[in-house]
Amino acid sequence: MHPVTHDLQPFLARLTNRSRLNEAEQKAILGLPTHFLHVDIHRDFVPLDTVVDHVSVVAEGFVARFGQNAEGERQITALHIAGDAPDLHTVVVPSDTVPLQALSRAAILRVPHTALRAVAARYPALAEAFWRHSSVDAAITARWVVNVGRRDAKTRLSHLLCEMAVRHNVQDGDGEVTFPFPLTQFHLGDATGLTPVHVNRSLKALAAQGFVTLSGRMARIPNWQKLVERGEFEAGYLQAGLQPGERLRIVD
Amino acid sequence: MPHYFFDTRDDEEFISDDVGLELPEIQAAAKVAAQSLAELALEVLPGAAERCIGVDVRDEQREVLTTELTYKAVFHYPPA
Repeated sequence: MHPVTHDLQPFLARLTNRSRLNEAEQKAILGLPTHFLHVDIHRDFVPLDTVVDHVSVVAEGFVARFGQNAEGERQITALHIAGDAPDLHTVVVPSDTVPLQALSRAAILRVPHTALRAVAARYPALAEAFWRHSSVDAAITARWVVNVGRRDAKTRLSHLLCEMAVRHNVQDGDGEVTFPFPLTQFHLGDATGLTPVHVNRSLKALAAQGFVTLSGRMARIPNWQKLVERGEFEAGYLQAGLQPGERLRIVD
Repeated sequence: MPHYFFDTRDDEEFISDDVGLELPEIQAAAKVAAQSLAELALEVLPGAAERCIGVDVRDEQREVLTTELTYKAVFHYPPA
């Protein structure tokens, strides 16, 4: 990994893409204290059952929130990319445990709960933006339950890939869409509740039918609208791609 | 760990696995084959009258396991 300086700009961008924040509020986010961490691929950087006193903000890479059964078989319950704060709700539910694994090499910025509580107390609009961020994560989880419980393998994978495309802020249109997607069929199996074998078979079918191809750690979608229909995907729950006038500031 | 490949058959359509999985031993591969076969069944059996599906396991040298599931639906009254 190149020696890049990481700051909270991607996290601020994630917040301001949905919530209206003034200059002082934006400065308060960028001024939060951080502890920087490089994480190797496959490492559980927040292990199972770990109580944390900080939030992990993803600065670079792919991260999975997961759970597992008694035999150690994992289910990925959420995917997170740069700008996401997967365990932001632990600021107000510090007893909750949110195990996190790096699915690629990743860069993490740890932000202390105390600092996040202080800015939320000082700026109600930041508390609102954090609340909204956590609510979008909950909405994503609800869609994943429907996906894993009630869709066949190809629809499930198509839905997941549409979601990750939108979260990468790809241009929504009729044309071709590409975005970084380093996950293996093994990860995809853990995210969709399928065997890697069935994932592989389904991806081959989706590629052959011109819906999506995964190669070289990238996803390529030749016809965005076609995959949206295949995946029964409606993007509204992601609160992404909002015009400035659509971004919310409700509490004050 | 040995590398196993899982080729799938749905009637006569054969899809070769070019990625495979690293698993500790053949019993683990047999479990994955059975799970994959069940997932494939879930996808293709609803609405079918007759179907034969299978998952065949290879290691890097040879075939190591063949699995097969045969399905037949017989209506006891003629469907309307």
